[in-house]
This record gives sequence, C-alpha cells and structure tokens, in this order.
Amino acid sequence: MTVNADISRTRLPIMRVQNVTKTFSTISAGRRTHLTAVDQLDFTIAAGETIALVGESGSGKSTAAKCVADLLAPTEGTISMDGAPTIRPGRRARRRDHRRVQLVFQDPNGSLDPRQTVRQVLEEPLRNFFGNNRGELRRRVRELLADVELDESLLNRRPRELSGGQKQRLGLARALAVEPEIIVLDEPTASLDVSTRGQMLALLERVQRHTDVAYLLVSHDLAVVQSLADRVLVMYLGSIIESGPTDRVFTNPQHPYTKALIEAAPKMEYRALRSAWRLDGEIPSPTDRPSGCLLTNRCPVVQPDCHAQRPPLVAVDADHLSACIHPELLSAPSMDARTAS
Amino acid sequence: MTRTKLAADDMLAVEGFSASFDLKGELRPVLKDVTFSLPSHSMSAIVGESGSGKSLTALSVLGLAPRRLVRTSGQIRYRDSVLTELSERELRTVRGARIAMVFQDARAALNPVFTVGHQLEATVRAHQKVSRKQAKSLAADALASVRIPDVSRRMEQYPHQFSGGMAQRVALAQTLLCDPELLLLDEPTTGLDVTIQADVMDLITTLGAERHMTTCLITHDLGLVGQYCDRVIVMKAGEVCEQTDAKTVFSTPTHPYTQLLLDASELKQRDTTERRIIA
Amino acid sequence: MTSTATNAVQRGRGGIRPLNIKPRRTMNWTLWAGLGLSGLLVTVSIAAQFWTPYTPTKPGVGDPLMAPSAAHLFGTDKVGSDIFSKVMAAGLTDIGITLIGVALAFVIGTLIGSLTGFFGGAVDAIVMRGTEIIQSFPALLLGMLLVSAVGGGLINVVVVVAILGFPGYLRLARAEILSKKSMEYADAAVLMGNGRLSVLFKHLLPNSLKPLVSFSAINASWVAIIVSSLGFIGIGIEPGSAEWGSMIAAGRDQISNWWVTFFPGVAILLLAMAFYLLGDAFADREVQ
Ligand SMILES: Nc1ncnc2c1ncn2[C@@H]1O[C@H](COP(=O)(O)OP(=O)(O)OP(=O)(O)O)[C@@H](O)[C@H]1O
Ligand SMILES: Nc1ncnc2c1ncn2[C@@H]1O[C@H](COP(=O)(O)OP(=O)(O)OP(=O)(O)O)[C@@H](O)[C@H]1O
Ligand SMILES: [Mg+2]
Ligand SMILES: [Mg+2]
Repeated sequence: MTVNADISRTRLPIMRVQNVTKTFSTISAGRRTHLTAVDQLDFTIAAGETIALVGESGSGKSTAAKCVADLLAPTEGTISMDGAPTIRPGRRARRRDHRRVQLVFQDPNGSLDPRQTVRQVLEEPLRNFFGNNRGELRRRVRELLADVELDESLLNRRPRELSGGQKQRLGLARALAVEPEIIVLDEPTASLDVSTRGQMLALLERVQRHTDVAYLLVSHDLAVVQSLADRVLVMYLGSIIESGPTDRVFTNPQHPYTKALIEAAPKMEYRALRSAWRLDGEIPSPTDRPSGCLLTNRCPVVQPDCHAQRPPLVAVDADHLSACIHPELLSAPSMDARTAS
Repeated sequence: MTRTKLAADDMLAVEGFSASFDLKGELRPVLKDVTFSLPSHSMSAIVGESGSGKSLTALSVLGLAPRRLVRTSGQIRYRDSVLTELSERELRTVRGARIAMVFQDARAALNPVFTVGHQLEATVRAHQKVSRKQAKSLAADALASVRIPDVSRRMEQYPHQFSGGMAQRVALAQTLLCDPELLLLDEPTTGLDVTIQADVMDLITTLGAERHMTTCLITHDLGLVGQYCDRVIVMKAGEVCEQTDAKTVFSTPTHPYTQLLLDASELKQRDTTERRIIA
Repeated sequence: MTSTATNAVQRGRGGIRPLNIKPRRTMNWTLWAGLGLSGLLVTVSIAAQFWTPYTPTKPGVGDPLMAPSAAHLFGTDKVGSDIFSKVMAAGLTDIGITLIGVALAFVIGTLIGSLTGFFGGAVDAIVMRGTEIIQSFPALLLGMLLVSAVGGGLINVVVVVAILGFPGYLRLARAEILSKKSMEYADAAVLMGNGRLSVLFKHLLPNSLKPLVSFSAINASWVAIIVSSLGFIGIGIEPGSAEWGSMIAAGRDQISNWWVTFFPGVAILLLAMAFYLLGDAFADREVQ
C-alpha cells in the first residue's frame, strides 16, 4: 500500500474519549436494576486513523459507538473534539455539529425510514448540510451510489425493496455524503458477500486517503479488522481488556479472551481443526459484573488471584495494553494437554 | 452442474423456479430457473452475491415473498406437497411448525411492543399444549441455549433493549422453539462475535442431529460453510451457478465465481508500520 | 397469534404476502362497500343542492302525513313537506358537520399528541390527565353540556364534536410517536442534520399516520351518530331544519306514522356504516 507522506507525520487526536461510562436502568419485577453497558472507556482518535472495536456480542460496542456519535449521552466521562468537551455526562448536551461525526448503524433495516426512497435518503443530508441545488444533488447522489456499488435503477426503491446488503451500502453512502471527520462504522460489512466486502473496504481506504477521515470500526469480522484497522480495542462486558496495534494484538494476544476470539475465527477449510482454547461457562450479565477479572468464570487458565480485584490495563510493551495479570499462561503447555483429552 | 433429476429423499426441491417483480405490468426477472435440492437431514449452505436473490428464494419457500413477486415458472416441492400450489390457509399449517425461518433482519421479526419473554411464550403455546408456567420455562431454556445471560431479567425486556447480536439470537431461539423439520437460516450469525457464533452453530448442529432437522444456511462466510455444512449452493444474479459438496468447493471449485468468492475471502492485512500514530 | 415467528414478521415487513401466480383477492369488499356507500351518500347530498323532487323545506307540497307512495317516495310529514327531498337535502349538513368535525379533531389531536409524545415531560403528563378527564365523561352527555353552554348552531356543533373527538387522536398519535421514537431511523434522521421538529414531522409522523387514518374513519361513524343525536335532542342545529336527527325528533310523537322517523334513521345508519366499513378496510390493509 502506498502511504501518503503526510500520514506518517505525528498526529494529534481529533477526538478524545475519557472515562466514558454508560449505564441503562431497567425496571424488572418492580425493581430498578442498573446495567453497565460501557465502563470507563478511554481512547483517542486521530485524523486518518482507523480504530477497531471488537468484542463479544452484547459487550457494549454499539453503545460506545452511539456515545461517540452523540446519539447517547454518557452517564459519566467526557468526549471532546479538538480539546473542547462537547458531550457532558448526565444531560442531553447541546448537539455537536453532526457534520463532524457520522454513524453507520448496525441494523441497516431499522435505521432507514421505511417511507423514504433511496434518492430521498441520500438527498436529505446533502440538502441539510450543503444546501445543494438540484443539479448538484443529482450529481452527488449518482456519485455516492457508484461509490458503494449500487445500481441507479434502485433510486426510486424503498428500503423494503432492497436486499440486506443493498440496505447496508445505502447506510454507508449517506454517512459518506456528509463528508465527516470521523465515521463510526457499526458492522459495515455484515451482510455483504466477500467480493462486495472487498470493494467496500477498498472504497473506505480510498476515501480515507483522500479526505483523512478517521474510522471507528465495530466488527465481528476479524479479517475486515485486520485489513482496515491501525489499532484494535477488545471489549468484554463493557470494558476494554486489551488494546494495541492490530498486527501485534493479532499475532501476540495478551488476554485469554482475545486469544479465544482469534482462535475461534472460522478457517477457510473443510472441517478445519478447532482450537481447544475455548471459553465455556455462563456468560456473566452486565447487571452483575464479576468483581475481579471479568473473565474469571470462563477463563481456561484462571488463577486464585484473578478473583481479588479488577486488573487494570497495563502496558505489555509501548502501546500494547492488556488487563490480564497472568499473560504468561496464554502459551502454557498445559493447554496442549487439554487439546489431547 | 445442477441436478435436474431429484432424489426421492430430498426434503425440499426447488425446480426450475423463476420469478419476476411485477412493476405495473412490466416484469423484472429476479430469480432465473433456480434449481437445487436439500437432502433430508443435511446441512446446506446458500452463498452468493449480495442481491442475488438468496433471501427471496427462502421467502418463496415459505410463501412469504413480497406480493409483487410473481412466479413465472417452476415449482417448489416439500416432501410430497408442492408448496407453490398450496393456498394461504394450507401454507399456514406448514409455516413455523414444519418449515421455519430466521429472517435476515432479526429485529424486524420481533414485535417492538411486547416483551421478549411474552413473544417466546406465545410461540411455545402456539406449537405445544403446555401450561403458562411450562411455556415460560421452555422459553427461558431456549434463551439460555443461545447464550443469553441473566435470562429471567431479559425475558421482561423489550427488543430494543437488546444488542444487535442478542436480538438475532432471540429470533433464532424463537424459531428453534417451533421445532421445525426444515430450518432456513438467513444470515443468522452476522451480529455475533466468533466465539458465540461457534456456540450457536454448535447448538444448531446438535439440535439438527437430535431432531433430524434439515437445515439451510444462507451466509457470506465460507469459513462457516467449511466448518458446518455438507452441501453448497452458489448463487449469482438470480441464478444457481454451482451446487456441490462442501468438501469439493474448497478442494476443486469448478465455477469461476466460486473461485472468486474463495479468493476474496482472504483479505490482505493493513500495513500499519508506517502509520503509527502518536496520541 | 401475532407473536409466532412468521406472523410477527408478516407485520414487521409490511408487504409480505404469499407467492402465487394469481394475486390473491383479499377481503377487499369492506373497502368497496365503504367507498360505494359513502360515494353514493355524498353524491346524493351534493345533487340535492341543485335538484330535489320537491322543495325540501316547503310545507304543503302534499297532504300532511301521507304514507310513502309513488309521488312521495318516503311519504310526507305533519306539515306536508316531502320527506324524500328533506332526507336528501339534510345529507350535506350531517356529512359536512361530521367530516369537518373529524378533520378538526384529527389535526388538533394528532398535532398535540405527537408533540407531547415526542417531548414528554410535565406538559405530556398534564395533557394526558386532561384527555382522561374528557374521556371519562359519556360523550353524548358532555356534548349536551357543551352545546347548551355555548349555544347551538352549525359552527358550535362542529367545534363541540371536535372537542369530543380529539382526545382519541391525541392518545393514539402519542402512542405511535412514543413507539417510533426508539426506532433507529429517528436517530439516523438526527445525524442527517434534521432538527428535532423536522425529525418528528418529516420522519416519525408520516410513519404513524396509517392507524390514525383508520381510526378517523371509525371515529366518523360515531361522530355522525352524535351529530344527529344532538339534533334529536333539539339542542344542536335549529330544530326543524334539514338535519336527520332533528327530522327524527320532529316525528317523535307520530309513532303510528312510522315513515316520518324511519327514513332519516336509515340515512344516519347508512352514513355511520359507510364510515365504519372504510375504517375497517383501512385497518385491514395495515395489518397485511
Ligand atoms: N436502550 C437500552 N436499554 C437497556 N439496555 C440496553 C439498551 N441498549 C443496549 N442495552 C444493553 O447494553 C448492553 C450492550 O449493548 P450493545 O448494543 O452496546 O452491545 P454490542 O457490543 O453492540 O453487541 P452486538 O455485537 O450484539 O451488537 C447489552 O447488554 C444491551 O442489552
Ligand atoms: N420488495 C421488493 N421489490 C423490488 N425488488 C426487490 C424487493 N425485494 C428484493 N428486491 C430485489 O431483488 C433482488 C434480490 O433480493 P434478495 O433480498 O433476495 O437478495 P439477497 O441475495 O438476499 O442479498 P443480500 O445478501 O444482500 O441479502 C435484489 O436486487 C433486491 O433489490
Ligand atoms: Mg451492536
Ligand atoms: Mg438477503
């Protein structure tokens, strides 16, 4: 890949997420319970950078994504752009300019107005943000459709007349229409076939090269994460349990959850051998999070001292952080014995 | 390539099925001579291009395709009955109880105004004669089996309070509660991380074997196909371009499109060495 | 029943229907019957403005209290006016009051309901209490109270009918908006640069109109009956004018001359039925 000269220069973050916590309160059986969807999230995003958020289903990725896009107000912590906090906890703060941060929703169906045609979906942001005239609107709409590989014959269709993958690409196109500085991509390729997926990734890279947009990518598809992300944040039960440069996290995971995740990825073979490094046991509930390490009840190499307290994120080397106090056990030979049994 | 002669032990056979959208009298073909079969007790996969008609094919089996989709030729056979000839009333007896489907947009399959528990219990009671209490515990078991924690509290929540992947698992649990003979899964694991995906696929495989289910998985993940499926049907632009054993797809794919899918599954990794960012 | 997997989806996906070569004829007859009946009533009432067999309000076009005959299809009343002409002419009053009253209630109720549902808070709570109070009265009783307070007359009756009806629209609109508010397309609309009001009026409200429209048709059938009841009691439109309810009232003391009350009664029934059928048909379409 050719890298622009200016990409390698030192960058300052354009967004800083500091100690963001989001709790939902729900009432069940007459009692109010608090569900911690996201706990003490802390990271920065720089222009032109791609950060991936991976983790278990229900671990709080979409909630974090919506906080970043200013659709949910965090319960605690701040999210600031260019040093000025725009999202304060507690109240629905005055809107940040949505021109700067866009979100591609996880559910392409639910996030499209059932009554809008493809054309209307794409024209709306162009009108609202740029006040484009008719000719300009047409041209941009056509351009956006071409970008996401959608045929112009779809222009007058409504969402229910599109396939799953077509809706997903429409969601991406309208976020691109706004030309924001940060795009949060919540599972952008989940219902795309692999060849369309390849084209979408190429598009995302191309747009990033041209506009220096930053991506916060949420994905279960580890191949996509590896091909797009500079850094990865691994979430489990609302917390980041490992973070670092993509290549290092994938080749040398320092947390048992990350290792399980990487090893569980299906291989492109017929009946591939499966790793013995698996997480069994009940998944804990975010209303009742374990007090020690979050993974204690499922970790294959759990130790007595793991229950004592929640391990903090500590640096394994330079910018690779992990919240496991026994990373040495990740390559322990005892695991091979388990494989054999 | 495609088998035209269909074996007697096929659970489902789609035979030369073509369908078009009726746009104010003008017909726009979307499914062209689709022919494939699902052998009894097998696990098949339909893979293919986005927009190639995979979901419409599955919906047509259940008689749930959009009203503007009209069949122009061919038929769909299920055991001894021809589904495309059945009336709506007859289809209703087949749908859910004998052929069930997990829809691609799982959240739309859940009713936003009822709690998840209510919907699952209603499904149980629609298919089995059990007391309210038993229905509740069966529904709770089903939720737990798809790895949703803290079931008793989750049963009282509404679908929008679930994460994307959890909603998808609820839809799957609901379908499994119908105890069908033929199970159509339209991208059932797109919202799941790979560890839970493995658990859920293992569950489907185990239940499939226990209950002698025939399963058809629509997916974009060839890795899943290799891990779990016996047969593969490859679709492109409304046509079936290859139908073969899962094993041969990986060793000797014949159709160029299949080869292309295999190649595209491997992505190159991002070169991050020059892109270190100092925070 | 709506909760089994497939049925739930049927409602979620909107347009899903069985795949047949021949499009299946659904229970469309309610729609056609409703349209036909209301079309007939409207046409006749409008035509009556230009032509009726006799001048409707003119007494003595025949002998008093003649039974229906070829000359006087519906007979004559006690001053000898032609009942057929009168029933025709009265249509416009009844249909007009009903439609305008319903439209007013629809607009006001929907507007307030969607705003309070969308913004919530104390105002919402107060408005909900208010509608509960209005709705806790029997409608006809409240209508009588209001009319006798503000006085009769065409415009007053319209306003009173709208006051009686709007809480229903308000509550329905509020419930619809509340359920749509948590949909992700509302969030998406915010991201696309819409202000709060334009999210509400451009995205949420248009998606909530269907149930309101079918409700308004059902509501209209009920309003038609209220309007004529007020006329019957004699406190709505001026007694003795061309209005079905007042016509029945005028014939109250002539039980033996059944036709004086029977034909206006049938007209009211037909109007109510026409609206009811339409409402039913709309509601059906929505479920599909
Ligand atoms: N509106 C809400 N009300 C209550 N709880 C919620 C709400 N939204 C999310 N949650 C809960 O917050 C937790 C995190 O949800 P989130 O959608 O962020 O997960 P996710 O990581 O995106 O999962 P997935 O990969 O399955 O989409 C879940 O336990 C979910 O049930
Ligand atoms: N109701 C409809 N009206 C008109 N066209 C439709 C309708 N539903 C689907 N289509 C079109 O039919 C084609 C096939 O759609 P289908 O949903 O079966 O695709 P798919 O193979 O499931 O794709 P994906 O993998 O993206 O979900 C698409 O091009 C789609 O745009
Ligand atoms: Mg999510
Ligand atoms: Mg599909």
